[in-house]
Amino acid sequence: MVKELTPRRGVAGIDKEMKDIAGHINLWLMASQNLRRHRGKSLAILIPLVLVMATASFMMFTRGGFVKDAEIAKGFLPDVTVQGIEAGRVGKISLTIKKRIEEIPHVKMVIPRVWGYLPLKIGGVDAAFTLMGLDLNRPVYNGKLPWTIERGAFLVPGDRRKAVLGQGVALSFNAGVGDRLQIEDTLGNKGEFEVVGIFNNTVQIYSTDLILVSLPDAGEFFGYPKDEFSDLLVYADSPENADLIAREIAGRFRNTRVLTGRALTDLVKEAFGRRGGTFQAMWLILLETVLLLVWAQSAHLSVDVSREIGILKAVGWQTGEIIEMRMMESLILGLGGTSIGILAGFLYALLGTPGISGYCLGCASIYPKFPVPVNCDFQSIVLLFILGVLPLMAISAIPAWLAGVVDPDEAIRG
Amino acid sequence: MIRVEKATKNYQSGKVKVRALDNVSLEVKKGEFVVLSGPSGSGKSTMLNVVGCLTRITEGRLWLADQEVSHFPDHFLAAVRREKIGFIFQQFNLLSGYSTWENVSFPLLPLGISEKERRIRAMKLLEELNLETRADFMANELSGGEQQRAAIARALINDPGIILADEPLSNIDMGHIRMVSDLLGELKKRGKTILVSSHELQTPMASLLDRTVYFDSGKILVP
Repeated sequence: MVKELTPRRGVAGIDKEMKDIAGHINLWLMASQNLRRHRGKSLAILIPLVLVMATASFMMFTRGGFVKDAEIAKGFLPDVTVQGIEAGRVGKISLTIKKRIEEIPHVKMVIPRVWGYLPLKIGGVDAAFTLMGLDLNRPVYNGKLPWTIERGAFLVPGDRRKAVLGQGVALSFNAGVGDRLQIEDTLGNKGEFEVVGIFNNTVQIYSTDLILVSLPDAGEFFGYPKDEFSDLLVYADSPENADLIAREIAGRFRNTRVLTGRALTDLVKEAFGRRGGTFQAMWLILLETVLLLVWAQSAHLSVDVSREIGILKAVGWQTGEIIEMRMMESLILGLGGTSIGILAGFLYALLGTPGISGYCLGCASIYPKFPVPVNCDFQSIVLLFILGVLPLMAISAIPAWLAGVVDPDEAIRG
Repeated sequence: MIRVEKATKNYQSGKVKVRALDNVSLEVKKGEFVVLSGPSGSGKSTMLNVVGCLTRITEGRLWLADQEVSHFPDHFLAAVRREKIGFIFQQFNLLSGYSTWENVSFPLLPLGISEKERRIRAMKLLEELNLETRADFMANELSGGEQQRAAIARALINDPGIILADEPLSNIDMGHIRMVSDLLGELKKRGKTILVSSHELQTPMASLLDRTVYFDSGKILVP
């Protein structure tokens, strides 16, 4: 006789599995009903959790927006940017240096640029834009323009007193193609340009901030001598040689500041990362407060809750089922609070983080009157759910277990 | 059916050790109706809690349906409570904020029985106990007698073989005492083993009883 060692999963087995699943669903339903019954206590946890997760969300989404912009911008940056240093501060750089850099091995091209900030007052509000003069014969090497013309046309060689505006800038000035833009900054620089084109926001850092003009126009506006520039964009024959060229330039020209494309991107990321870090510290304190609240609520079971657990155990509930129900309560709170928080944070970020953007995110100096860039991706959302739900579950686990293992008789008597 | 052998139960009340049961032995046959009688604090409720697997004995052994359960782990004891025992508490112990039928059906909830099926089974019992019109009332909206009947319905929902009732008549009015007594009598007729605690020597259930066991200071006076 052959004994069947492995039991086959028959109809009864499937039925039992279905019952098990239905049992878990029943516990879920009871957990959500419990939260409704103890709505005061639930709200006491839910509201702070929503606030904490909304804070984390807008921080993550806005920081993600800046970083994403910086990453996109990186694709358009030259391999090396060289700035002049005068008395320890960023100053002009001469045509002579440009010519000498062109002689360095592996340097394919050097493009000069003149640019500067335009501190303005628009409608009584302080704003800062960037006016940039390009060599119109070679605006950007390789034809990799970070801007796409939305309306009108780009500048062509020989254009004078003409400008192309970022979409956000056009919006600020209420300017369209064909309009004449009169600029007078708070430093006394004046200029008048005909708007010939408007570019879109592929990279918000550019489009909300930039006014593009010809190199001589920018030089005149900022009072540059003809053979001096703000910086030089150096392109290598191969990106791998960028560091080598940067070291060579830094070695040969003491009064220069040499930045590789990667370093510039890291700088942007770090600037927002550091400000974000301050906020992260605040967020961690808030999260800690919520967790302490949850711990306080869960660890010291009220007489009523203890009695309820005792009754359920007395009528045959397993310890595991009590723990599961209590954990589900935390899970529902965590998922609910995190979902609402993420939605609230996303909306707040879309609105431009009103009230705090100037203080905490440093957006005001870069994006006057403009919403901060928002990047909401799947990875961030998953991370936020982990941050919102897991600590809550972890902090509830011990009280849930303690509640579950109590003797029914002892629990009923409180 | 129920066998308790040399059971001792100690409680720690602050720094004081209380001996609630002192080397007690008891045997109840299947289908027997036994009352545990005695003054408050005599150990009869503790004996019910021990037999109902709500608490563990400090020393001794306990058999239920020919199976020794005194050393069962917690999850087995929960299964015993769920499958073999129906417990009627002195204070009813219904969960406020839940309806009557929900309270009655709590033992079925983790078993994966659907809400529809649970309601059908709860309603059947509530009808038997003349409580069907109160099925959707919240537990705290019921009178004492109604709460007691709901608690009895909950104890019967799994059709257990053993019914344990702790002072089932002490918190209800005279009108309902007869009803509950009759119901216990009906359960006895159905072959249930019934163990009831009562501090009154002349209990209204006297006519139903097979015997009375007297407790005092944690000991059985008359076996």
